[in-house]
Amino acid sequence: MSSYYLDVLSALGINILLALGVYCPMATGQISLGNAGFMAIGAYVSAILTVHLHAPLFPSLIIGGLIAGIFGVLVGFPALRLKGVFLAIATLGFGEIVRNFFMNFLDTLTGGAYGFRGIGDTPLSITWIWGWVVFFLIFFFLLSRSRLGLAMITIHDDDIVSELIGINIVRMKIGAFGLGAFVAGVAGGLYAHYYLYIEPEFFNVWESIYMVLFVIMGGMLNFWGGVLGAGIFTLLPEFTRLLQDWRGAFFGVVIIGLMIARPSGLVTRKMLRLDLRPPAQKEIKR
Amino acid sequence: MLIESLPVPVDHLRGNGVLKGEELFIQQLFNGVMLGSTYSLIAIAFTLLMGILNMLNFAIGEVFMLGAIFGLTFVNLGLSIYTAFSLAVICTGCVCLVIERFSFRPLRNAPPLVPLLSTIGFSILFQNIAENIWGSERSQFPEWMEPIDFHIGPILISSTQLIFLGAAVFLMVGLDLFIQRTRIGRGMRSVAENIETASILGVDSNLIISTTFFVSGALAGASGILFGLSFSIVSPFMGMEPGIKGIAAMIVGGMGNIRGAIVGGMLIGIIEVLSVAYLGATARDFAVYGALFLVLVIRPQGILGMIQAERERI
Amino acid sequence: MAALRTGKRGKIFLLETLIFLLIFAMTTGVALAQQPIKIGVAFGLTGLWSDWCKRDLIAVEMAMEEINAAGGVNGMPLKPVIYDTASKPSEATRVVRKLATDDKVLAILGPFSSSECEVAFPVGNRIGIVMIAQASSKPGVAAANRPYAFRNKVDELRLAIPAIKKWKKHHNIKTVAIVHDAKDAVSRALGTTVLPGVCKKLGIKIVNEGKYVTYTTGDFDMRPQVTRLKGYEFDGIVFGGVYMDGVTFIKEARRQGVNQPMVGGNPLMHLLFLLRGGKAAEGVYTSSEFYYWMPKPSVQKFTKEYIKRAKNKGFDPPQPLQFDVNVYDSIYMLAHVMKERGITNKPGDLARDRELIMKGLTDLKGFPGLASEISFNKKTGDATKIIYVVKAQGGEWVLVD
Repeated sequence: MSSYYLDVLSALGINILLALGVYCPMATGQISLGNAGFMAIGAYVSAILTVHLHAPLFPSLIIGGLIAGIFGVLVGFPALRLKGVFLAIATLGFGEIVRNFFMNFLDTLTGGAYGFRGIGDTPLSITWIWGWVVFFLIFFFLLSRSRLGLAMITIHDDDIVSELIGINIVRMKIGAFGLGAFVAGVAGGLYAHYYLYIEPEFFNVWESIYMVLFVIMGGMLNFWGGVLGAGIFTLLPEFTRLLQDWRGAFFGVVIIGLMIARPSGLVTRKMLRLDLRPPAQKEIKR
Repeated sequence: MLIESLPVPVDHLRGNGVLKGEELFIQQLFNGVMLGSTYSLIAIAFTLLMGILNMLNFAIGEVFMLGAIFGLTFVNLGLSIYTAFSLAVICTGCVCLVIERFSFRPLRNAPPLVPLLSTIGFSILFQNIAENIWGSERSQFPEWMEPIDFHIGPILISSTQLIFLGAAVFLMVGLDLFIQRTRIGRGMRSVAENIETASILGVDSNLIISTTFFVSGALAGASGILFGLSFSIVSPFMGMEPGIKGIAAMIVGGMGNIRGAIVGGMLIGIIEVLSVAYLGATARDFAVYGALFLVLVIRPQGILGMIQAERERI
Repeated sequence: MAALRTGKRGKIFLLETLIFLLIFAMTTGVALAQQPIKIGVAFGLTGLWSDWCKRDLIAVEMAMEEINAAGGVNGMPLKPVIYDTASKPSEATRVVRKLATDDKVLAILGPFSSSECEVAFPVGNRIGIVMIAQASSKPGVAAANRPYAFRNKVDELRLAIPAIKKWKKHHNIKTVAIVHDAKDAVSRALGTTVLPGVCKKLGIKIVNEGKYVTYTTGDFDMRPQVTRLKGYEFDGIVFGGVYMDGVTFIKEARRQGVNQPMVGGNPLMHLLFLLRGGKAAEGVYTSSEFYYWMPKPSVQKFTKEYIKRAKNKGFDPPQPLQFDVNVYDSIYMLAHVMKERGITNKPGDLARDRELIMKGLTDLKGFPGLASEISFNKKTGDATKIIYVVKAQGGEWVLVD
């Protein structure tokens, strides 16, 4: 397979992970516009470990993810008190703070604004990236079938009911943030070791926004939506090279149109027959 | 009444006045107020939609940018600055009506994040269009008026700054009066309270909604032109940061509250300028986003905001 | 011509002419039928750098047309294969891969920005294809990706030294204050390492050492920064940043009465700095690899043609900049090297051809570029050229001798 197609598939793999990272908090009804921040943490931590401490790749990725996850949990606490737009802006602020941090501090380790060069000699093979993708897809599949997954759906749909049932909302919501951050952190580490160079600007607001768009477009009610959204976003630019200068406008129009036509995204729960509520209740809800 | 130019004490052979500590601080404070008034105007554009229709229009930053771009285009076509300004403001008002048509009307019953995402789509669309038609590099307004500089004590003010401040104040006061005194304004306030009750009381909510969008767009556009004139820049990317800072100002001051937006804007402007002045450009974003984060965590209603039930929405 | 006789002599003459025409037709036909040499172009035609890259395309067209009109490279015409990187590093890597493995080009021009180069150069280097960037000047980008990465651009340190030297002499500078961009990598390097280093070597004292006045790329409001400068005493200002921020800064500085002379790094060199800066820009020193009014006939010819094409496409101002010339020269260098090393352009020789091009460029010494002779530094991969010091005077850049 040509080097070009491998590249597209590798980028796709990373984007799928980023989508999953955003899907997690979203599944519990929380929006995060700051996941690029978690991605950055994972990227920089894992790169510092492999480059400066000569640590092997696998544990470095895990540690990068874990530290990102810890920050996810930390953000999860104040996130409990905020809803909707407030939460979106707060997470956006968090992402920007992280980006600024890496631009101005830890210069000697990460190069700061100059960027972190030479993260290894050869880029990660596609098997590495997709290995993680498959792992997480299986993980989320099992999760969605488990009691935990059902609990998440319940929280997403109705806070009050879930409390009555006895689900510990607080723990779940914070956990969702943490898990999402972990996945984003791993994705960041993979990103760093694939492109071999990172700089703070790579992890800006728009990256966070695009990740959210993956999930929104593909369908926010289950994790396959994010996968589809990531696929569309990654592969579409390749097909729309013809559009040249107007690719951005095309995207904008697609987003606007999609929100009107199918706000819940392309892949709905009904499609996958995972909608558990009896038909009568569905009528009332929407 | 003209403010006469006072001689600035010359401390150096090169004819450059060196400022002392407190003088520096006062000047910086004033710089902060100037910058803050920009953010206040944008924050008001955000807060109008937020307060009356509970919608965050992410594309306001791009509408702001379009205002400056339209204004520049009209000026380059030969129109006077006043005509260009008025025309551009009407255009941006209409642009916002387009946003209403696609991001608000069909999505009335969708969860609140859906319109937000739709406006993100508009944001991407507008930026791309502007980039393609007007080019990616910065332009600026022609030097239509040589700024005259005044000294009030140790503070240096330029005429463009004064005009900007004056225009901003005029717009804010005008808007406040509009909302408090006119029928439509009262309609807006009642829709803000409760849209169903408002319709029962005979308020044409559709007209109100369209007016809100139009005014919000016009304000953002006006702010954009003033900004472009004051800071001498016009570019397709000029709306990104002011947009986010405008949202920050709205939140810090209190969502849905015009006076809150003004206070929030000033505060963000001052924080920004003081952090740059005393800590360096690197600290600036930390200070601003840090303040935003703190407000959201400690007091999400913002400084002037109060729990909805307790106080008038706007 | 004297009377054509249709006698025996005439017939022979006719036959000769016919044969000549036949041979001529055959050889031109063969030249046209030969495979064109594909050169990849990885420019940011949309996004942040679109304005610059679109102009550079004019230079690409001009160079290739001229070379092809003169018979191409060993009879083979040059053909550009152009893809848009959208000014994004991740896209740039993809474009490089596409060009190298799908389109099988022999060499690649670009990318434009240093961020794109940082990510794309390792890819090209590993595949083994020459990449020549025309505008990236962040220290060490090509050096980290030898032997296939090249930059037809002088690095910032070398560009800054002559400018500051001449500026110091003409204005008798003893103390300076440094202002720089805290975000853009090149400007930050300029401000924190390069410019202070040069100042110290020239015996200039920096009054705000350790407390440089900073701003962020694209800042529209430099009032706080300039106000801060007013707390210091100094002879001159040293500026590390790009031209548009230079405009914002200098206008605000002059407005607030900070009138000391200023010198800036090479990123300040742009016609728009003069146009937008107006009166405030007067007297500013910087360095350049090229200036379009150079009295050399080749430069004048290039400039005239470039302006014609730029005006056609609606570019304003239409004069060529150093990056355009760098692209133009790069193509000529590639053509020269391809001829010299005997590129066959046969599909089977792809790897060999690419390697020959790399070796050719590495060994290139004193190539006659438009503005000066060009060689590549073996270690860094950056170009060595004559550096011109210019200053803003009467709304124009004027050469300082």
